[in-house]
Amino acid sequence: MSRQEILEGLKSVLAPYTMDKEALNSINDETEFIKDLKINSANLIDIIIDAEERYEIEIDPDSAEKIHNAGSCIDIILEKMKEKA
Amino acid sequence: MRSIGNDIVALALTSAERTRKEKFFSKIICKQEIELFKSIDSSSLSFENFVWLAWSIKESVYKFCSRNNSSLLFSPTKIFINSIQLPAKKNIPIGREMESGSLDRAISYCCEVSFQGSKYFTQSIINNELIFSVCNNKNDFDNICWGIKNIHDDRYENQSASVRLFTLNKLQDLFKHSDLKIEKKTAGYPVIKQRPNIPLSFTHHGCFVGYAFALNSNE
Repeated sequence: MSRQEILEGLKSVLAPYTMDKEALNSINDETEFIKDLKINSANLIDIIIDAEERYEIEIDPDSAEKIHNAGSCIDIILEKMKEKA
Repeated sequence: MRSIGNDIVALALTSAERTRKEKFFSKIICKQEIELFKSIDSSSLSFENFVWLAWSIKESVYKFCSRNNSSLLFSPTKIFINSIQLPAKKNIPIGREMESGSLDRAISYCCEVSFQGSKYFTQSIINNELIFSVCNNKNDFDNICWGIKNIHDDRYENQSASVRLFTLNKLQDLFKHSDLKIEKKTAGYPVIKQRPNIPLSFTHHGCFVGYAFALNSNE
């Protein structure tokens, strides 16, 4: 799966947690979940669990703490998919 | 360097069903904290509220610490709640606005927390709608002012504007200074332009916003 495909999937994962649809539509690697998408930190666990379910992976706490923007999230998803393969 | 951290959780925006799932709560609390929950009177605190209390406590500790270390990462399971003291008074109603006062300790869940070899202390209040926590590195909250407000419009821009106005009203009342300004540091935390030595923290979730700041002992 390519980074672009994961980015598109990530949009669906993030959609329920952001009201800023404009920022979501223009998402790129640098897009910060809290600062740019205005996602509340209380939803970060939801996002990690939804990503785990979508990509059938497990994201451990050491990996989860590195997720702050779309790029770092894609890195972790790819890393975990590779570990599973 | 002095600091402060706070956090608010709007319970209507959380899912009790999801919170009860191990996959969810295990990303916030560890086995020792589950044992801590079992040791307290569960009639006064549901498991779901305990999980969100833990989240709120840990986020407030993280905010306290990240003010002096902007590269710090938030990992709830690396922050440990060592002890919890239940409030002496229960069922305290929280109105549309609530501010710190003499009842604080009697209505608060008081916790001792460990993170990266240091101890922190938190006071939290819980009602049917929200959980609000404040963190300090001393078990002393006498000089800490906090406030919670229920707002009508939960869009981000309004949350942000409302918490600033709510805080400015309190600060202007305290300091009799009508021209105070709040700025945001590039690291993300707010500062009072005219009183940069007073640590200030904002929080918002859904229809609730809150502030906390620590006065100097002579103020």
